[in-house]
Amino acid sequence: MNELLKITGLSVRDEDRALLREVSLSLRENETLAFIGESGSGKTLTLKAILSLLPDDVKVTGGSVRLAGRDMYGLKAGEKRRLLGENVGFVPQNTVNYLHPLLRIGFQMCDGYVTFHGRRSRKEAEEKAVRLLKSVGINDPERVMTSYPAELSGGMRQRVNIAGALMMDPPLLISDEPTSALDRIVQKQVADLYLSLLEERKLSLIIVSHDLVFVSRIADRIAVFYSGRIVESGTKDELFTEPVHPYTKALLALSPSLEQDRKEPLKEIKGYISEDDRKRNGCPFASRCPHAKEECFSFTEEIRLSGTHSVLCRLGRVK
Amino acid sequence: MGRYVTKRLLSALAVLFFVTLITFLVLSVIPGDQAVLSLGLDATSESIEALRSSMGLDRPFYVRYLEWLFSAITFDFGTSAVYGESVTSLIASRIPVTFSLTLFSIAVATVISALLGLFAALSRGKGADGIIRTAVMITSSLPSFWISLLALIFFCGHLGWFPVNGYISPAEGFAGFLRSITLPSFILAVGELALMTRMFRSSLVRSLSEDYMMACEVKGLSRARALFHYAGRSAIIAPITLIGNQAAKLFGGTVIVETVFSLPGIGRLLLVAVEQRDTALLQGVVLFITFMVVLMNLLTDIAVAAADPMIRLGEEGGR
Repeated sequence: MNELLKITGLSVRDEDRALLREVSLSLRENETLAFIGESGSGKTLTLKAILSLLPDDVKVTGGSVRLAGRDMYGLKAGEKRRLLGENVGFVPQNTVNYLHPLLRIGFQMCDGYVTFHGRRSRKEAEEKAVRLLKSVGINDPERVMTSYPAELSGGMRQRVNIAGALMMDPPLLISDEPTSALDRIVQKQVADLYLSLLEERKLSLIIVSHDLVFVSRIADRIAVFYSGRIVESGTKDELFTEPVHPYTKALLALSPSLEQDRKEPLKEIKGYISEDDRKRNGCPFASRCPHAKEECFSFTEEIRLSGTHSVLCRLGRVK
Repeated sequence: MGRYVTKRLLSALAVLFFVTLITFLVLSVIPGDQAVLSLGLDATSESIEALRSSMGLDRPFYVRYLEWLFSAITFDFGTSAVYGESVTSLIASRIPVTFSLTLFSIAVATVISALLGLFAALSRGKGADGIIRTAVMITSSLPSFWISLLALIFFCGHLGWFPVNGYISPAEGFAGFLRSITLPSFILAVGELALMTRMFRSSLVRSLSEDYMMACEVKGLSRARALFHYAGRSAIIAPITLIGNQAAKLFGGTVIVETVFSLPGIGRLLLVAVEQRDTALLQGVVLFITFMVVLMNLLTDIAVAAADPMIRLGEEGGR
């Protein structure tokens, strides 16, 4: 199978510190990859680096991003936009201003399509937008097309964003915590929508989520981020059944369940990511890790456990 | 919208009433009146008193005001003591100058400040941004009489491009009309530049950082389309308000520039009315200026509502 996306040794930093270190991953067609990890671990930044939409003060210092076989950072601005427009759909975390507040939904959904298919395709684009809105579960697509974003609920806006991301039938969909800003019931609906989209379409998906139940339902593979590094990655089964990195284990144990006794406090991982953790060449988790040894603070290496499973921890060696 | 406009017009009437009342009050409180000014300082107090009673100035303040008010209601604003003409025709004769100056200078200032603001916003934090911001700040801080004199010496004296002074009405010759108002309009425009450029710049900078700009990139829209249809769409609203306010100010007359260029505008009429204590004329001019301010504010609000669908939606929702 073809590799749709390949990131090799990507390092990103701003003026004072490294934000991503040696991030490598690849995504094949029809595959779903989930990013998990606590806030600030570099998940969203990795998505932005894939789209080559990093903030001005953030620079790529090494590595490469190849999308559909082309080097994102070697392209001219116009070629890059074309590559993105035709190959990637993006669904944001926050639905508030991703849609322009002063423009009608229909106009915004059709804009990209018309850019690539010429002025005369406006009508075609509108028909397609209506179909897509219907397919993401919007009952009155004609009304939504002429609405402004503020006239829609958060859940509706997120459906519109998903439909909009599919306008060009991109092979790759990138979603940054698509359910986190929504209430519980709508979260469930949007999650179900993703599952049915993956069934119906030929679609690769990269999804960032804190919802491990959702991840376990949707993902083929999972990458665990910690402090700007991928500390463990593997198939869903490998990670959920035999996690190796102490951070992965801790993260998986956190997920609160309904059966949990109310009096029992919510579980947490003690400590926080300090500036030293970010600078250290050793394991970034060492200062919070119950299994840390002296060597962890100065050295760590990636160990391949299988063709798909690799971990950034000495514990991988003993296995 | 109709009800809104009616409501605004009614409150405008109240504003007009109070403004004329205050002007009348101030004029009767400050020392010196028409009688003193026309007879000179050497006149005996008996002759001054005699003139005063013949002009009706010895009657109480409120009687004179009510008299004025009742005739004003029938659109009779009295006769100017200085010019011996009806106030209405005096003001009407000054309107073309003031209107053409205002419209020209606002148009010039809008185009220039929009371009400068756009350029500054796009090069934010870089050299060009600083140069533009400093330059408009300096040019707008220069006193307009000084710039006017310099411009007179250079453009009218050395280059001979424009007439030194005087106003030529469009009826007398359109080319001559343009030549007579170009220089004063540009000088008025320079005074507006700093505020307007800063407004354009800051509102563009804000909209450029919004999430919908990222959406434009991902959709593959061209830079120009993203700038004008998306960033520009939000960024235009704040400047509309400012432009309306500045225009209202200019409609009230521009004493200095009118004086330097010997243009018979509203500003100089106002000056004469105050200097000569010409109550009827002053009341008329003040009424006109207030009316223009109220009208411009109304037009501005309508323009903003037209540009911002959220305001329109709010109006509908509120009823």
